[in-house]
Amino acid sequence: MTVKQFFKSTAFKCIAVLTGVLLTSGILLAIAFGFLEVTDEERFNRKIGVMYGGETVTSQAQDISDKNVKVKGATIEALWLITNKSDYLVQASSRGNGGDVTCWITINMNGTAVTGIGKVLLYSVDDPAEFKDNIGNDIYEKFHTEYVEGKDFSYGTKGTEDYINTGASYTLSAVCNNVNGAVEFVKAYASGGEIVKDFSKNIDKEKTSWEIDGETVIYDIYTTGEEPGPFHFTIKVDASGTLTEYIILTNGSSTEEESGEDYGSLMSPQAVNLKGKTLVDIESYLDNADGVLITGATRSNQRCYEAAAYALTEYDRIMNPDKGGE
Amino acid sequence: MNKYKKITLDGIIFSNPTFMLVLGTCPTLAMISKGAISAAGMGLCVLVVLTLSNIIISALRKVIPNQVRIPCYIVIIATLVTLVQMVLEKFLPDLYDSLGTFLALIVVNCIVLGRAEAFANKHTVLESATDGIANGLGFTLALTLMGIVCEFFGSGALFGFKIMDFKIKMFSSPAGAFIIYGLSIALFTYIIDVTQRARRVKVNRFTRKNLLNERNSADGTEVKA
Repeated sequence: MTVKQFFKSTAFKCIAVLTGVLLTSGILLAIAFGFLEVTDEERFNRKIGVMYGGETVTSQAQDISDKNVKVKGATIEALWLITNKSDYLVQASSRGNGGDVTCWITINMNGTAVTGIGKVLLYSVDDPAEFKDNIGNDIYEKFHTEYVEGKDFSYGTKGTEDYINTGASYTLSAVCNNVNGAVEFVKAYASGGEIVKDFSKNIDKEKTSWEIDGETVIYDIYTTGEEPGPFHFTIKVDASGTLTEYIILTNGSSTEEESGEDYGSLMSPQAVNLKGKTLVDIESYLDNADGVLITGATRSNQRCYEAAAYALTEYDRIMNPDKGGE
Repeated sequence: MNKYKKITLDGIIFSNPTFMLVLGTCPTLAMISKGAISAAGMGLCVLVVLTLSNIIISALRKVIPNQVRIPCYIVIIATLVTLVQMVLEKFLPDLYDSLGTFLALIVVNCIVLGRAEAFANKHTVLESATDGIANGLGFTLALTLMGIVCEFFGSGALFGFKIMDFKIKMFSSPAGAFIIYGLSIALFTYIIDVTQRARRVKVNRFTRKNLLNERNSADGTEVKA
């Protein structure tokens, strides 16, 4: 085939037409992209707009890299100042039933004081979708309408009036943690203070006591609650921030009435033997590192890790009352 | 019958892509279970892509060699779908989110490629445009109607507005949509069948009357019908 024949052949026509169609499409798409591109900033502002009923808002990301971002069971992932509203938008995440539950929470401010919670939005959820769908809008609305300064949100206690039965307790618990953590974080951030690590949420402070033995603090810790019931521990912490003794005197794990399942037997082996561990270890357990938190007796494990973390964080305050100790 | 009227009626009724040809079943089931707005949105996107692709393919039918026609059609359709995606993401982000992956899947929607292959590459631009609009309308109407039924029973709402508390959750799922789809096909086919039978009876009666008149006029008598 000569060159002339090739240029007159169907093969050449096919190549030419296909190339032409591809080039035209490519150029057309490139031009359209120039006009219709949706930038990340635009996408982000659209999402924020949802928090304000579609209103246009402007935001400014805050640097929280040097802050303690683990607050009240939640991890504060990002913080924005909504400049035209003087609100803060917090992205907080915590552990649900099968994965992380991430929320966007707007915190209303008056100067440096938190005045209320604007809106809570489930940003992303790794929990099974059916759990997420069990939490209706009316429950999210409660965060806005029922905010009281100093009071944490929870799904309540079974058998009491404030109990919110959704069938998605873990997911709702994670949402509550996110809201509580967000409020606490913004309070400290706005006032320029530091966020103190606090693991006392389930500690019965009236019954709990300690005594100092040289460089060691010996704790007698009781936890609160019904499911599981109260735990009772003897814990010793030394000057290096290590648990030198950890004994569970009373295991509050309950037994399932119908199946007869003993939750105590489902507890993580780590949770019942924390001797020699430090706060870093305990925090990683509370984050479910190596799956040691969710073993079928999650709340019982949680109580044990929280009691140990409480003892470790209180050490400095007990030994140095001038730095905020009692 | 006028050529364009026939193309239009075929696209919307007699060869309706959803009810008569059962094409584009995948987006149909996915979208009608999401509600009327998503279903109508998907229908309109297909209408736009189908009309434009028919016009372009018809205009290029003498240029595109037969051997590479399918790759060319796919590139043209994919370009149009990408453009529609860009426009929706920019100006209608809610609809864009609700259509999700199914928007991109219009590229492989057999209605679009089917009309390009069966109609646009054999007819003029105007005829192809009419065919695209008619088929797109047929698809949109079918999806919207079924979307309304699914939304009404599945979530007690119409076009997003809640009208009753009663709902059967199954109709918000593709399984419930499948039932609605099947029943709609049955109903549509029944209506078309009854209408066409009635038309045939009318035509037969008219023909018989003419024949009798012809025979009687040949005999010299007239018969009252």
